[in-house]
Amino acid sequence: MLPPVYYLKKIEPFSFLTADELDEIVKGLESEIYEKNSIIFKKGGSPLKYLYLLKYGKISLSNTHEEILGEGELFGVASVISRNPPGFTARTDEESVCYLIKRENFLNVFNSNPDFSGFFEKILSRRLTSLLKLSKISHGCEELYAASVLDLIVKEPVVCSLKTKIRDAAIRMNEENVGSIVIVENDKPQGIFTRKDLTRVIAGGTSQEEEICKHMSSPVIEIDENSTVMEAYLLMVSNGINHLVVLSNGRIKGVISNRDILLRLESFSSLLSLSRKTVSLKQKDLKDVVSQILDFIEDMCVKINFSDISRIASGMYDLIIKKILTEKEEEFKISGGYCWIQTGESGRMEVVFPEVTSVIILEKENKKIYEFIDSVCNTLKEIGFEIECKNCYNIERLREFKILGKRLELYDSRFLYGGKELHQEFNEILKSKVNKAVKFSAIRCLNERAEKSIVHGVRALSLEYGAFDIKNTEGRCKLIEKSTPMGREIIEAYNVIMDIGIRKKFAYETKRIDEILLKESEKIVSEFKKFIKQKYAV
Amino acid sequence: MLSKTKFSVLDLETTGLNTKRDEIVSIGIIPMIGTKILIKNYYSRFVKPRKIDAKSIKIHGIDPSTIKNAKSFEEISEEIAGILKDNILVGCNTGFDVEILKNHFSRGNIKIKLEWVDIIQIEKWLSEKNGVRRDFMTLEQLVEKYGLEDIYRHSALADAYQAAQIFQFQLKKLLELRVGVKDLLDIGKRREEFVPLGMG
Repeated sequence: MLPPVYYLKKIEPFSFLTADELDEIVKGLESEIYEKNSIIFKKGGSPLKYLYLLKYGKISLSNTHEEILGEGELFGVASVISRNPPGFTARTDEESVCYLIKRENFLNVFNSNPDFSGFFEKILSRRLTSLLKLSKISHGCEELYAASVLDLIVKEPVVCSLKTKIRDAAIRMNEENVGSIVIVENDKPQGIFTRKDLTRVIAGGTSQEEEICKHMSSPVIEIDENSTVMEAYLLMVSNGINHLVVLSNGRIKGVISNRDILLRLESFSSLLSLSRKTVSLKQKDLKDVVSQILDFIEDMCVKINFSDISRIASGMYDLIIKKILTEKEEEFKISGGYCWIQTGESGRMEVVFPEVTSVIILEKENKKIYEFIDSVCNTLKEIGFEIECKNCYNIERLREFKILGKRLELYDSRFLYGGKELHQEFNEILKSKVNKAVKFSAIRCLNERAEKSIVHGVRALSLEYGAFDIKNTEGRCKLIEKSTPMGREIIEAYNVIMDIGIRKKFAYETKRIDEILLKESEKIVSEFKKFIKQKYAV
Repeated sequence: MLSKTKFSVLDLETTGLNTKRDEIVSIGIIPMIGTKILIKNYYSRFVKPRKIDAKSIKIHGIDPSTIKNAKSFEEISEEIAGILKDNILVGCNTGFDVEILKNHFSRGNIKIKLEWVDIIQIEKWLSEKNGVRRDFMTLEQLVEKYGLEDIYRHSALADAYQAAQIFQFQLKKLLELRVGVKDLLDIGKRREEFVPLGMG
């Protein structure tokens, strides 16, 4: 075989080509050597007749900013496809050898192979995360963990009003063959009534003529339609319930039961049993659970995407922390007076490893509560968590805390356990300093690199737009997408950087496609920084 | 003008090392114009020898049935002559390949003038120019020296391509040194003592 064909076959997107299509590429293939500092083509010059692939050497592309290409990288694609003049100048930084692919031959293949053209279109339109799957192993079950709860809904929700009689509700449940009925008022779910409730009511001798609102479970536990099946399962486990109401934009979309999930997942699910175990195990055995979660993540990070892994991992860690808190409360005879909040990465649900930063808000400081918190943190450390547990704030002192606007991780915080009213107060205090947080976030965005820059930048924007309650970077990006066209690109870049980052941490070998995606992501980050710099004049 | 000169980078696989008796079993040609490698115009053929010697075919890793079904040199000699005509032949130990080609062409009564250079000789000249004396070199050593990938199964075509890549680097240097076509032919064929260019 001709060595260049052998070479091309191994690299995306040429690896998608059939033997005939590769042959077509070879029919237009040349190789040229360029001395150091020669210009291969100029920005705004005539449309390119060749697509270039750097084989040996180093080339920089310069437009408003400079990009350095390494061996194996393609350039000139946009001009070749669009027949427009090149948007940048290509210059050699050292003696370089390139493969040149004739435009006509490239376009013939481009027009005939959708996988091949899709690759370029995704890169050019920066739909990067869809290309991450090229680095993933297809497995089958991994999609199920990350499947949306929407997939589990098979029926329209069966609903009734607060005043519906128990008997009528039972008749409807029977007619529709469902295990639960949702009680709604003005389209908002008020409660749920299940077969189990019905049995209890009848066994208790309650009249079937009574209004259902007196016997329903309320409030209902809700889950957003975009959540994963795994998140739904964790929600059921942690609340000890079997039904969840799925909401779409605040409106009821359907009901899912743990049976729905189990039927779908249990046969091959180590994680589901792990989450069940977490609830029932003794503290000392949780160490095993944590290490099994890590094994699971290591296994899964080459199969599913970062945003799904991190949500699953965060959910598992939440479950463990909550369990320890409940048990320690009993041991130390604590009831209320504090609120446990996850901040920073854990607040954004973007952790993968059990490294959590928590803040504890105290109503009043006393020795007992400190002992309790110490004990919780020590136990977490014993079972494998890395936890920052020095951040205890008395709510009164927090009010006078001058540099609050600089404590940006607090603006990414999320309630986990304890007194909700304390959390509300905490939020009110944070909101009063939100202008400072916007400004400091913008500054940090410019000073940080890669994913951190994105985190701070989108925080600045979303806080400015008043979206105080959205903490997740992906969620914030979706919000800012409406006001800045960069929103979508930023989340693509963020997911790419994080996804590849985790695989690197687990010492998985990165692929060439990963390097391409990282590079594209870096470009997006630097454009984003420019945007932030202009917007906030920092 | 050296930068516009046409080259044919060539490699042969033969039944043995005797240029008079042995025969070509495969031929690979990669054309070049100046430093540009015209991969698209590559030429690669298996050739059926008059006597099939199973032993040497085994060495090249060629399937005997491929050879049996191939055309004889006589059948393709005109198209090969058409490609090589007015080109400078380039290769690794080109002297041997040229001798064997000449013998093959003369059997078919094809008259063709073959100018040639050897990349090993060019490399020796370039090394000496840099004050390094090299006595012996192989294609593998050159591949390593230029940092080229060596992951291909050896065949006439793959070896011709490797030689083309090396020659591309060499030619770039020769052009920088303002070497002309005539000088190149001299440099690429020298076997004896080094005589500095312009002083000989």
